[in-house]
Amino acid sequence: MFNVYSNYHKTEAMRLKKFLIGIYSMSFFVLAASCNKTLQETPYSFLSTANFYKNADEATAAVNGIYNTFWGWGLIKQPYWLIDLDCDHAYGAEWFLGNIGEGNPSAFWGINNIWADHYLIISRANAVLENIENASMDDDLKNRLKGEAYFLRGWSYYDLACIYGGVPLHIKTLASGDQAEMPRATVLETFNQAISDFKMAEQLLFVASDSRSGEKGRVTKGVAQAFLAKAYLTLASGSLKDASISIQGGPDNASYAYQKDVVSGYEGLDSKAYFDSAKAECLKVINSGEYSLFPNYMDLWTVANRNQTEWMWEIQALAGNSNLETNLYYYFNCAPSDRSYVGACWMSDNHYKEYEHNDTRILNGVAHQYIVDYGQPQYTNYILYPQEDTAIYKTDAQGNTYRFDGTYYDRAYSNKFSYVTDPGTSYSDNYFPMLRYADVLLMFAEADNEINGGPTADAYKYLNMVRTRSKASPAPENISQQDFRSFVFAERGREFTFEAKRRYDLLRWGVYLQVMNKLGVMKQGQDALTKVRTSRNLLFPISTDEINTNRSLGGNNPGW
Amino acid sequence: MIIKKGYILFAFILFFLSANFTYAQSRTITGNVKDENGQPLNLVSVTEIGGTKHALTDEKGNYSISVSDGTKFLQFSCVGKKDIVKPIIVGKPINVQMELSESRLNDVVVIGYGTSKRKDLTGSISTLSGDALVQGNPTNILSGMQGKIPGVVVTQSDGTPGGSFNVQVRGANSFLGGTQPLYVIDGIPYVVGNGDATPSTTSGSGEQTTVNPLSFLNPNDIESIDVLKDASATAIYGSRGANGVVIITTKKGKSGEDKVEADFNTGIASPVKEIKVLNAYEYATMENEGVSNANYFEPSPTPRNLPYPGNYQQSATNPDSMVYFKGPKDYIGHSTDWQKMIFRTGITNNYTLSFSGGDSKGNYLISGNYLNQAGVLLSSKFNQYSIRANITRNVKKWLVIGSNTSFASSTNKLVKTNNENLDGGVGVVKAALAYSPTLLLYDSATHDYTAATQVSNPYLYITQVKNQIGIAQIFSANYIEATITKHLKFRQNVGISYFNNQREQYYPRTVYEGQSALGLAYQAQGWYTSITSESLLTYAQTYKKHDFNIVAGATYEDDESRTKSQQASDFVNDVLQDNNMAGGANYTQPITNRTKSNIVSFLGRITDSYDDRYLFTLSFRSDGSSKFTKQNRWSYFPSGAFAWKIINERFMKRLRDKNVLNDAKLRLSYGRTGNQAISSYATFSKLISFPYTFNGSLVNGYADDQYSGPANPNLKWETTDQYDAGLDLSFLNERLSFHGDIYYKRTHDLLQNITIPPSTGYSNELINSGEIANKGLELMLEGVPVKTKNFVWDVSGNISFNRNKILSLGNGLEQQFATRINTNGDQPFIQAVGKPIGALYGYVEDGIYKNEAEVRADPVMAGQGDAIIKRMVGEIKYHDFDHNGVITSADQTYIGDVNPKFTYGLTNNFSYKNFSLNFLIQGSYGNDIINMNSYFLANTGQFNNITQKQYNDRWTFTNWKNAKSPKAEDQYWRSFHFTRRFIEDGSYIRLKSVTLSYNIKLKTNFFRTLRAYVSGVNLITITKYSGYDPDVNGYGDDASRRGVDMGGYPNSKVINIGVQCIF
Repeated sequence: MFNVYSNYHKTEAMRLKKFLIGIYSMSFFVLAASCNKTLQETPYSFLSTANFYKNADEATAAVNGIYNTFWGWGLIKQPYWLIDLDCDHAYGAEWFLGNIGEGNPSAFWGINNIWADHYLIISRANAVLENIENASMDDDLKNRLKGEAYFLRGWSYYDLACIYGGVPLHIKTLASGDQAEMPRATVLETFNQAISDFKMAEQLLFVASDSRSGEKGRVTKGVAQAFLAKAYLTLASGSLKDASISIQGGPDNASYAYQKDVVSGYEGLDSKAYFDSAKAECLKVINSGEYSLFPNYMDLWTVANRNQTEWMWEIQALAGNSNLETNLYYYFNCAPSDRSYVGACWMSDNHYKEYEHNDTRILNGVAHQYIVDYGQPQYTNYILYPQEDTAIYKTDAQGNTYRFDGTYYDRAYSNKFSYVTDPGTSYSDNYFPMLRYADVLLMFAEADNEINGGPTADAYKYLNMVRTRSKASPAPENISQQDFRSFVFAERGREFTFEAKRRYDLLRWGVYLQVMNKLGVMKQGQDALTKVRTSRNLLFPISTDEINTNRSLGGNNPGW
Repeated sequence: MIIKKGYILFAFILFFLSANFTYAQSRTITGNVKDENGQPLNLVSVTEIGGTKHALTDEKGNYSISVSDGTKFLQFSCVGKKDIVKPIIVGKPINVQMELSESRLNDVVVIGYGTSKRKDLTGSISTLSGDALVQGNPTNILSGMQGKIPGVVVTQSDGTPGGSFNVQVRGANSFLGGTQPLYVIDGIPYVVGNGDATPSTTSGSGEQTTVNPLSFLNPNDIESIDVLKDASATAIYGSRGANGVVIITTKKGKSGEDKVEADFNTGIASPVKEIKVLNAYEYATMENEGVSNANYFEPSPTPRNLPYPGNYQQSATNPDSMVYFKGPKDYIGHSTDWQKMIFRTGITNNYTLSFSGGDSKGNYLISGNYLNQAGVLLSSKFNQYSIRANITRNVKKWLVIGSNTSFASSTNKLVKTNNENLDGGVGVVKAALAYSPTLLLYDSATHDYTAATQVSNPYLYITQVKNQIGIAQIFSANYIEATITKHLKFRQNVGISYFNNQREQYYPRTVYEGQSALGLAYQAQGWYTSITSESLLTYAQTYKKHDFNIVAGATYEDDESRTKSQQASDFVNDVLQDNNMAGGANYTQPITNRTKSNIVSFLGRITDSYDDRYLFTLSFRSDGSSKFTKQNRWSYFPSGAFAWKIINERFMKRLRDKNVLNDAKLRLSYGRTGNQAISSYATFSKLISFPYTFNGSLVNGYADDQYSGPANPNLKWETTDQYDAGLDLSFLNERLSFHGDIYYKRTHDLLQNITIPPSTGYSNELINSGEIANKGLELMLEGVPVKTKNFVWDVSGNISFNRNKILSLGNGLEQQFATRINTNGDQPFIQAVGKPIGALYGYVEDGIYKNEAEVRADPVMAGQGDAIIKRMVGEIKYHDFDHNGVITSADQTYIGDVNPKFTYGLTNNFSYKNFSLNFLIQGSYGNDIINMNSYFLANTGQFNNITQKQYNDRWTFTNWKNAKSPKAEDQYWRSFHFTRRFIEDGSYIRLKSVTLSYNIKLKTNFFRTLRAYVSGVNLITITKYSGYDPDVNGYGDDASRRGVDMGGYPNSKVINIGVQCIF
């Protein structure tokens, strides 16, 4: 059963089989070898840290990304300025201020975002500081970008320390081995981190007029110095012992003298040394000649004057880009041109009465006539404020008649946020004031008064610069240290209403609880807001996400 | 790349090399094999009994086999035919005529990368034939599978035409990875969902409606569906086998005369039910009661006016005139039934025409289908054209090529249903229940939405909003199969999948979304392409009593997808819709995305049957995926199985011969599989654009995406180990058969997106952590109780039990919550160690506060002011578990479980002469459903309408003793904790389908078969569930949130009539 024919085929079959096996095993081998290359993922539609930060454009974009964080729902979109409305001067609709504005921040929808967005600034700044060294670029630019990153991280730690006390200090990224779960540092350690970052920024940044400082709207050397002063002043005023301060308020809007508390965590500090440092930093800014006050108070708020002369640092907005707009206009302005609603926040009657009648900060800075009809023209309301000026405001140029409706519209709406490019939308391009030169002048006056046991000529000079440009009379001469302290404190309240300063001032001077509880439940028109606070209100509750996930944290702030 | 292409090319070249192949011979027997019709039969396996020699018949049915000395018998076997054994007479040809096999044990079961006879299976595999699939005329294959396969739970998201179904094989073993099985169509893996290519529904946040990606397959084109369940069967699919594998085989032309088959059917669908809500009279009464209760319980100096006072009042605009304000009685007979306004009878037309045939050189099947399915909600419609060409050709004696290619083009007009929203964008079903029955269908004088809540008028919404998805899809599975030697075969598969979808949406200014936006338009497009190459060598050899089958192969897959989307608003009017987006004054930047991933795999399997008594299977697969970093790129998935065919033991001979027992087989298996449903680039840190602006100019900004988390280079597969024991029995000449399986699955390294401290600058991180176990029992019984000449009754029943348990969450975590289920932030789904995925957690109610005394007596109310105490009368009392006097999150407990205790299906077929009757009863027992409709309506006395039950149960001054629902009160302070109030028993038993058909005998020979039928779907459902339908699963594939009814598209009853003719 064996023949040549089949033998031939058998041989060929064997050959072919061997060949096939050979080729197959080879192809498997080749495939396996090529696998690792084939299986390497190539990202197409996103950039990754590993291949970023190579040049000036990329490094600049990474720093811009830090600034972007301000536009999160934990900062300028609402929470940052809403926190400040937990103060004695702010008044508003219960539906809007019912949580933070009534001392109940844990009920606020954005409470966790506040914590998270501050740390977003920190982690983005950390990423820049770690990666920027590899970028090949001009040294001046690199230094400036590093300076901006240091400043923004410092600002975040400063703000966290004010809001929460001591917090975990993350100064590197997870990618370079940072611990995800970190315990809280002390308040002082947190401030020291902020101070050290501000100092780095001061060294690396250029003054505003130097072309190397980049586009207007970036932080500059002057901003770093002013915030250094602010951090020092916070520690100085917070740790000051045995001092009193008089503040107008309470149910009868009288002046009450309060013995200030030493702020928890600031005990035992050399208050005077910090006042010295604060004054020195303020002087650096003043002497730099980079900044000056606008001659007319209302010039501050116009669209054209953004980023100019007095403005040291504003959060920049962009009309038409909803990610870079706020609803400040919506919440603070009296009523829009279509009359369809009224704002939800206004200053209290008490606070309105803290100004002289012709002070442009209320003469022009508060709306005295406005019209609202809620979309129903048959029910148009013509409202004037205040009642005592009815004679002045009862008619306007068009002959409309206005009236004071104390049951509902006893409201002093600020005009600060009424200058926008497009007032027709609920989101608009208000810049948010982070720092202006007037703040530096008043910080100087405050520090100088404490250092010298009373006001010097310089303290008066800078205080009165701020007052007189608003047509307010100069401060009374030859007053005591305590009276001057109280006067500057009140002046800060008048100058910076709704600029996220009042609550910080009340807290750092250790008078927040006393002032708020003196007010008690505040009734005005048909609105009532409770200003009653307990000691837990001195610090905000930490994000529940942090509490739930960070086992090293050591718990929440007292009372939360 | 070049190497890759070269490899594919090489696979093709191989055949041509192996062209001149013949075999050596020793003692040669020749002969011819014919089929039962006398036609030559190709590819019949001819083997010597007791030896190792083997041959196949050629296309003329001829064979030639060289047999060893001593061989006395030859065995002839062929798929679908009875085996025949013939004695050898040397020098004489042996001619054989095969007969059709009647034994189901010889049915061919498709297993991964091969086939097997049912009697030789070692794994747990269930098969559904095409005939069984199309019972009840399903419009898609997944609904056809429902209730018919043990261990496979098929649920629909809701009743949307063309909407998605969720298939879960043996329980959930993933939080994030998805629980969809792997679908393999004609040998090529099909990526379901094409998640990366499906543009997100940017509008109407919370919308969960998805389309069924398998709808492109016409159920009439399906030959069989084989579901691989245990790991010995699925491990050959490695990293994608953990959720089971569904192998879909499409029909081929059969040998014999060419035939034309036409199927026409028309279905008439109506909603399964209407939910009873208040009519206008009752509604106005309830609204009045809401205000008077507010005046009573929260008195103010100026009492509020009733909304429906029924009296004359001074006009607001003209103080001199009086205006009549309607009262409840004025609405008697003037009520708008919003459900009626949006429901309709939906007509479905489904036409299939197919041509098929075959001979010894090959076969073909060309089929075309048109489906036009109008849903029971106005405007909703699914429309699809599809065409399929399946061609097989024997090119050479040793070479077969084939192509199974389908194209489908569909348009799905959706209406907004099934979404999480509780504000204006609730969707039409919730809106129809809630919308005031006192309002007219359309009143141009008033706003078209209810201003208080901005719930859009459901009729306007449904008729004016555009929301459609168009899909064009090609799926082509091709192969070349070469017989290299009589033992060795080579097969090269090449699959191409292309998927393109386009989503178009427009919200006019008459509805919530478009109202302030002044018209809102979206378009989103997605493309997905995938190429698969599989090279397989199969070696079959018989050696002594061993029968080996060895498969070795290498596969390569390349997937790429792209999406883009754009949005515009502020249109001058609503005429052009999204068709001219440049007309929108306001637009957002276009968003585009591109992803690509690859998998390279090597696989092998050895099966050995020893003496037809002991079966062994060992398989191995190694997968390399681009989705992981180098360190975790490759994973290995082994499996092993053993089966003992007890039936073939000597001691069973008597039972066997007497046909008492026809099959008895014990199966044991273990295997490991993976779940690679992790998105591409998950191991990368992502920088995304975070622009900023300086002094009025936009500048580029980049930073890490805090939501995608820090880069985790350690990500890897979820791995599942599964153990299975099964028993197959068949009795009484196969009149009765039983299949049972018991299994235990344990999945570790679960993918989880854990929350990490926000102080890291990230909110979450994707990690592998935690373990889940599933254990279960599946039983299937098939029988033919009656079989006479004219009357046959066969019955098949299955029941499945699965128990799921979270063994660990990792990180020392004891519990966590799944993502919220609504815009209020409720998170009823808890994931706790020792509990199943799908356990529900919430508060417990202690009834309704009957009176003020009861409120005052409750410690929880101690210290509350009188005003609060007073208004709490008629409100829900929550149970204070820790007796600390406050209701806090600590007062939550386990309040439900969405997992069924068991699911079941029962199919009966009766045939009498030319009639046949088939019905399927199917159901689920012991599962809970979260009813978000009742949640949305819960706040009695506010703007919204409520259910009749809620109305009857509410607290009133007369019904205060037995009240089960809060009083009607118009207020804004009431809030609800999540309790059993919103969770219901979802058990049901349903007559899923009934079909009565008649074979018409005609004198003419023109028709080979003419069959007319009428069928009903979802005719009877018995359930306690108060929503539209208990077969609802709003989150589809999301295993962590099953059984949620979010105002889903109501399911429908369908009556079909149809004709099937074969020429």
